[in-house]
Amino acid sequence: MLLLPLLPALIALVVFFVYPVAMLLVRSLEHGPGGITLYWYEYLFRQPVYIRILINTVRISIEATAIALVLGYPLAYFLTRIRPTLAALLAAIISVPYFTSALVRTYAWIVLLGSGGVVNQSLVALGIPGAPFQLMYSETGVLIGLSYILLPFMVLLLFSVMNGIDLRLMQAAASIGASPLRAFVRVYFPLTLPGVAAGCLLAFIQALGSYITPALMGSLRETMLASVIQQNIDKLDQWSLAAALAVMLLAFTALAFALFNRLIGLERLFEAKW
Amino acid sequence: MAASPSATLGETLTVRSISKSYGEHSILRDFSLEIAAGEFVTLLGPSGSGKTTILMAVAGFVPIDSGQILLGGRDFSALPPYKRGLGVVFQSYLLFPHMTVRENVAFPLTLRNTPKAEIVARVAETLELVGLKGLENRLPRQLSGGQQQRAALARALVFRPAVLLMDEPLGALDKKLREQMQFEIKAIQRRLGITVLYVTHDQEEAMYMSDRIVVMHGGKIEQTGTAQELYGRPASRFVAEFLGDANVLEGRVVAAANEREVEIELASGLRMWSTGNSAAVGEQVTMIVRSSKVRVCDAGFNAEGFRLMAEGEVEDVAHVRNSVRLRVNVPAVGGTLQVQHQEDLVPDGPLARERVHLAYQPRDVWLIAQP
Repeated sequence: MLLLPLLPALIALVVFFVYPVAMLLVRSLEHGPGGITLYWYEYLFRQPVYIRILINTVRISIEATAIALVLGYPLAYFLTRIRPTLAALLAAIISVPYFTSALVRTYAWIVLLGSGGVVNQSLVALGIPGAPFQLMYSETGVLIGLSYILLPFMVLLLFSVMNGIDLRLMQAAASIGASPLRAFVRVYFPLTLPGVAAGCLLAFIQALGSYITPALMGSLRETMLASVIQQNIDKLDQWSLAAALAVMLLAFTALAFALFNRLIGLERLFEAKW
Repeated sequence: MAASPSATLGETLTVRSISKSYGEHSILRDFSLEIAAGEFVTLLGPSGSGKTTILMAVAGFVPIDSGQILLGGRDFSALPPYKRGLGVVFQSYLLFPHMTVRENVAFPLTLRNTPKAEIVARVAETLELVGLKGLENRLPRQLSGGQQQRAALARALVFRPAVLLMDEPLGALDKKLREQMQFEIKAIQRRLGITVLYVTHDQEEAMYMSDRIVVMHGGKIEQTGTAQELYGRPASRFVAEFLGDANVLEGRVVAAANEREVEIELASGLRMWSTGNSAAVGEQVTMIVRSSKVRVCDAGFNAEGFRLMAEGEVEDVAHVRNSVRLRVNVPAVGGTLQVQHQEDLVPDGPLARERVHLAYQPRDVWLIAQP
């Protein structure tokens, strides 16, 4: 009886998620006539280009996640220290990039970061040595674009955990002899770890599957998995190879979740309290 | 600590004319207090009286506008909190939620780079001292309120501070546990010889635990003294009322004659007598008569030292433990008086609505001159 209200969602999940993913898996195991085979996976691992793209995808995702964490941590802390109404307003502003179209956002970056863009013009005018820099169509461009879109995730997840931390604990730490730095390292930071882990997990997964940003802001060297999947389907009609690549993407996502569960516990994604 | 002979950890804590205000709003004005080494001093007052501000100023969490705070004669008011080396027990305990009891208590020592073997020994003996042995591996959320309180106390004591500051540490506990903790804290304090500055709004707790009580009101000291002094010789109406069960009457001195017996006339014309106080004829005075010093009797009552006061009607009777508490409406004093008797003094007790007479002894009437 409890499950009855879940039926619509359950049907939708099966039709639009379980079934396609299963088909994807089946497709990735098909080659020529006959039963299932690991042909496409072997093929994939024999091609240095795919290995490189896999490694690149994971590396860029990790880097973008790290940048979002470094930028987002102080920002989230700041939000916990100001008036709640102001914090809500700033959180909404921080979330804007998440609600704008990826295309609009990316073209805005092109205007800003291109070799003749606002940023480089300013740097040249200021006489910064080495300017203009190659900010677009490079790994720098991809990292700027990705970390920007990951930031709202990171900030909101960190904020919710930080907001639950009693700041008087810092007084307690000081009272027993902890300098502000040691109090941060031994008390505050460990208490934010569930938020750090949750933010990194969701940002990393989001980065892994990103498509438009690396395609428009990077060069061929920054090609990521999603672009290759699209190329294999659209241009090369290689459905089975694309399916194998998609399964790889899914595997990395599952791996990230497993790691999170091992280190922090999945329930911490929903329950941020100590 | 259990092994070492009763050490005298305590040092003198001196607060010298400190002031604190937030904008126009003055919290403390020229507050001074000296606490001897090993002394247990309580700041007692209602909320907003500035008692917690003083404690937090000593701990270093509230910056003071002027004045000095000295430990053993050395001024440390310019030091940040983490360099002051005082033990602090907070009202809400503030245990570190991600650390076990053992880690919480060991933390002050690891911060001081104490050798590992010594940390283990000191944590064990401190947990034994506060009665938490066996719970070392629990997280704070797995402890009861009383156990959290003990863990917070252990964390504040483990590095052997000279002074322990306690901010309403028992406020969140139920009455029975509170009384037990009062006893234990007092025993630990005596054993360690530590100087304690304690903050509470509970006058019974203050009277039970303190060597000396400082009654605070509006950022200033109302009176300082032992529990007995404050109770028996309150310096102001505020102190008398705050310490509880005081009947407060007002009148004018009409005669101050033989053997320092002072005769006072109330607004209604009722006359009362007081001995042991001196007052000048014509002076306006406040009379304090503790509820336990007023007796219910009949019109013919005539016992040595007693005088009849007036007639009244019992409004309310309550039996609390071995005493009877009455509220008696006495028109002659223009209000209700509290009366408290031993149960066996009035075996059948007066009932509500009954008319009774009240008697008192002049030596129990304490006079406070009105400004």
